[in-house]
Amino acid sequence: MPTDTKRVRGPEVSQSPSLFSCDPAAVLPSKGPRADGRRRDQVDVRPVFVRCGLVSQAKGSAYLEAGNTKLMCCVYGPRETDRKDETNMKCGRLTTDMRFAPFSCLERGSWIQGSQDKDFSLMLHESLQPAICLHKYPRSQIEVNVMVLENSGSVLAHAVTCASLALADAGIEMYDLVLGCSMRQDGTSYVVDPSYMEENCWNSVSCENQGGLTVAFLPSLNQISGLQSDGEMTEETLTAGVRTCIEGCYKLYPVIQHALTKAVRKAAPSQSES
Amino acid sequence: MSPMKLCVPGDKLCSAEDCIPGTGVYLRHGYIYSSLAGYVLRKNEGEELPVISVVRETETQLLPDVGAIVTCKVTSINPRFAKVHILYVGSTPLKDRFRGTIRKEDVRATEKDKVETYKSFRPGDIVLAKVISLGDVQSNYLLTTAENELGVVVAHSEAGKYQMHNMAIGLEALENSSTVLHRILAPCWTTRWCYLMDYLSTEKHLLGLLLPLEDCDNTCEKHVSVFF
Repeated sequence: MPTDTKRVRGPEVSQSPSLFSCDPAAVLPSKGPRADGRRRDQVDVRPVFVRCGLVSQAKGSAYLEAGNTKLMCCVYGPRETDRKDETNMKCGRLTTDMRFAPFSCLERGSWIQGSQDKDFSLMLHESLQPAICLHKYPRSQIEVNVMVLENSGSVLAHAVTCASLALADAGIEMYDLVLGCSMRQDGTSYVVDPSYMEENCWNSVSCENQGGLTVAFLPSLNQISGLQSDGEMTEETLTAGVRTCIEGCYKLYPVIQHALTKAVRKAAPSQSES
Repeated sequence: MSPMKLCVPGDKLCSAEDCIPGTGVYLRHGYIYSSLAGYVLRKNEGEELPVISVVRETETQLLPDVGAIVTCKVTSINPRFAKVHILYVGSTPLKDRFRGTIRKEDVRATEKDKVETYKSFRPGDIVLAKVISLGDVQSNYLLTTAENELGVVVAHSEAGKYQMHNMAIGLEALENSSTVLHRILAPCWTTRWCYLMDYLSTEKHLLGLLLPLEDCDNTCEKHVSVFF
């Protein structure tokens, strides 16, 4: 387990103050309205703010804010591959990296990648790979780096959206944009695009359906490229949940399209052919 | 001209019966979809159907492809091959460097076994080469200079001044003259243009395209006086 060796730990009998702090409301009401005013059992995603092209050094970049969740993504490439251990050089390679800034979560994290970061990176890779035309970039490597600045729920879903925006901004050929949406099932009701509190507070009364679901969706091709779920849910709940997430993705689609066209127009204001 | 339409990856542009797919688009189930975020261009090229493509105004990332003429710089030599960094593909500069290899037998077309690499190349030379293969897992791009128009374009001589191979302009006069030269011409036989090279800096070598080769005659004084 990677530890931070530069911190002074104090005498051996000392204990962390967080053990003694009282827990904030551990159980969220599962019937009442949500904390930020959105409705339950409706596809109510948080309004999203996106901009492309904020990092000048990277080939393409995007910044996304959904409620309090803030993340940014940079794309580099196509570059020459460093490692030559791939047997198939006919198509390119995608490398994804997702990191949480130490100040992003409620408890301070470390800059060293934990297992959760690696997990998310793998899921991001799985969601993005089907969408990129890798056969057009032989012997090359495309790097996608996502940095989460503030984690306020459904980070993986928004990371997928942000990464595909950055890829489109970088001019990398893709079959379609990848949009992500997540939801949280709590007994008989569900919430779409949960915030951090809604995601992590498990109801102590164990109902039948308790779990979360994240879907990465290609809207134009109507295909799902990534599916991640945890908890226990029945089959009908899961399929209904997937459909709900797809609906959430469709709601997000016009905003993403508008942001991309705005970025293209800003890069090349001329209306005539070059 | 009608305003250009913008599109994002995945937008359905038209049916395959209306247009022929160009660059930046892909064909699926009889429809043409966009694969880039950019402007939609429809060009009528005289055939029955117009060609539809999507362009971004930023220069398209060209990767060295088989058969492309590339400009590269020699980084190390070996009795068997020379390693180079590929800097330009055609006339577009690459943002990232790709590595290439010129094998001993690909340096010239005749007398391939008598080639000595240290006599043909030196580290720092600018070479025009052609890609013959993308290479396999272990090797880099394979290049060849075994054609008339290819080979070393700019080289550093022992006296410290640039000298040209394959040049029609008289070099000896340039070498021996005491005037300080800042810019040098280099003709490129492939594209039939004369390049202006920045002599003092080793990185930014291709400053621009100047005049068609037919306009340059063989006297060097005329050109030297024009350009520095």
